[in-house]
Amino acid sequence: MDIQFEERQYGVLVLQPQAARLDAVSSPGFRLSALPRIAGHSLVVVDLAKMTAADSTGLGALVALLKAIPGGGHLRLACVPVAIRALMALTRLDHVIRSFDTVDAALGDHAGA
Amino acid sequence: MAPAIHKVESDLEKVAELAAQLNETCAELGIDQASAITLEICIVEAVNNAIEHAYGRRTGNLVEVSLDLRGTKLVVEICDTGTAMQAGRLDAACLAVHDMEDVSSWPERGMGLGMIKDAMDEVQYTTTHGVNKLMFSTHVKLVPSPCAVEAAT
Repeated sequence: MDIQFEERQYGVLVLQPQAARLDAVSSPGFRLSALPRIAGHSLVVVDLAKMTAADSTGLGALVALLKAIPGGGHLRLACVPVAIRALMALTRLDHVIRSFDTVDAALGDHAGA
Repeated sequence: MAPAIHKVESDLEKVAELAAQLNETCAELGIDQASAITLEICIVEAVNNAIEHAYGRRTGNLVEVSLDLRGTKLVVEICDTGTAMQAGRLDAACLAVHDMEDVSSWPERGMGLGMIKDAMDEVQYTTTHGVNKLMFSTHVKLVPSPCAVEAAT
């Protein structure tokens, strides 16, 4: 999967998948591209602005991303479409990965963001 | 009204197309957006399971999806002719409550069936004469169709 990566100060990585779905088809590519970039970041923001839907395999890829962030770091989602919000709520993943309306809101009070 | 039937090839690449068709069908049936999203999530999981597990990702087979609206109750049937799910698998499926503080306890796969059980009122799995059928049902919210609104005004 094609992903746009944006390195920011203070250990922030923003990534934006360029596909419409994070699902059983696209998730392996997402993992392959995103996971090697996670090391050394304390906040990873996944911008889902280009996406419309996901399935449980896609959520599994986000969980893998979360697990790859060094201890104490955070994974946040931005611009989450309604279908993915529903999926997050159904699986209760919304309790561990917070969603924000915009990338700036997801960066929030992170140092220097 | 006769059930709406969708047939999808046993190819994960075809599931996105099915999801779009399901969206249209839900709109035609007058199902509200929130219910339609939940239905799409569950049907996609069930079809993915059929393709991945029943057919072992072998292409050239079919998965049939039927949506039957009976009042406000929607009955969905997903049929395949592949390898049947192991006995007890449906009963055992659940979305376990994970330790929120322990990220490592969160699963990266195998959530689909538990999601369906959580979201639907009733879930059954049967195999008859080589046809595997996952049936689930839920009560949906209906919105007036544009034609009904126009007739009333």
